[in-house]
Amino acid sequence: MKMLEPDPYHLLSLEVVVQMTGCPRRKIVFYCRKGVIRPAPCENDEWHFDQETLIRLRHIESLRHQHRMNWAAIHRIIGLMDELENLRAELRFLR
Amino acid sequence: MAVQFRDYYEVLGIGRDASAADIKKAFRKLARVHHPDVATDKASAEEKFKEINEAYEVLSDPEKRKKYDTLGANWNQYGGPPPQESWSGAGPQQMPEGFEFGGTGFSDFFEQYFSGGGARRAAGYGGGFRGAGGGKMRGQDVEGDLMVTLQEAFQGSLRTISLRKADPRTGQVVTDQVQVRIPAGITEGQRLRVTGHGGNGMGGGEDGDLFLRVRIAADPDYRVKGHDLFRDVSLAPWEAVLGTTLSLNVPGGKTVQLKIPAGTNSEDQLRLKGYGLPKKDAAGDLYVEISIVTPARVSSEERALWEKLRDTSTFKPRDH
Repeated sequence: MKMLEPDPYHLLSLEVVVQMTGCPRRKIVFYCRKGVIRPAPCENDEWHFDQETLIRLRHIESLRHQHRMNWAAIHRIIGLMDELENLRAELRFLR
Repeated sequence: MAVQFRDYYEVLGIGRDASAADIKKAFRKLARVHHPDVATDKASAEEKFKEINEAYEVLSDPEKRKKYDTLGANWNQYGGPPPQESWSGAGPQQMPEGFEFGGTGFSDFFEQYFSGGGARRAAGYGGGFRGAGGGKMRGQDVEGDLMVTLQEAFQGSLRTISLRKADPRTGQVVTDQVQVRIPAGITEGQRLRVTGHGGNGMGGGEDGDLFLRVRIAADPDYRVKGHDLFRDVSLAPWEAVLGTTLSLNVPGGKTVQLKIPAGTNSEDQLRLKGYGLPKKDAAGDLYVEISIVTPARVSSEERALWEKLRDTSTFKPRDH
């Protein structure tokens, strides 16, 4: 049986993220400027991203291409998704 | 594959009109009995513990409980499964057809109706972009919940996940089993990316990824926030006033001596640094939250002592 060892802390370079999401570099820079995604803290000046950012970017790209949403709608949805997850986490902690 | 109804009320041994407090109490009682740390038959205890947890997961969440009650015992007679909820909130994206997976710790019933990510046939997202090859299209990503006990989160574990995928072109169903290592220190909500085990790519495009979103199983003693753990400890009034030392079993099989300082109050928090979940740089902390409890019944001798204390004490609790 194949054994897989996913590392949730593995960081991806900007180039790899571009390749894995199909999201152009300039768009990633734009999303960073808007605070929708954030590069992971790194020792050198290069941008690296964590797995959560990869998923988030794929969501954004999916909203953009498959649902033809504009930036305002995407921004709103991402904000609501974050709020929902935070509330779920709070609920799970308090139960 | 037929999905079997689960009677969560029966699993927790409570009535359908049970209050939230009753549900919590029943869960804690059963979870302590079937906790894998204390049971002799670890394998069956773990199964039972996960079953109890699944029931608690649904009944402790007002929204899920309402949905479950609506489904009712005749759940399968009316119109089949309701539409899947999508974690992504990204609208009605196309789900990967015929995608199912098992070994997540949740039953098929739960996965079909209550998983946040719609685990069994998880919501697809993020796929579909065309690569440099023109006609190539990447398969969709698939996300599902993975129940991880606190012990597993503490020590790490190896889980066998079965993936059942239907090829959209040929209709052929392929079942694949993979072992996934859950790293020690994994926390609530984190996702494990299992590369290339999502939806099938098209035109030579690569397959999507499978994301397993970690859901830490509710524990009768601990609550988890990030890498920190929280535990309630009850004290007798004299223990709180005079101080004491308690022997406390902490996750990871260790026992620590916890010094309760004299004059401890209810809702005080004591921090045990580094006794939380492990992480790369430094482990999280364990917070002990104090509650002072009073005896429900007292003997005549005890009552006399309390009365003596009342008459002697200069303490004015409402002046603070």
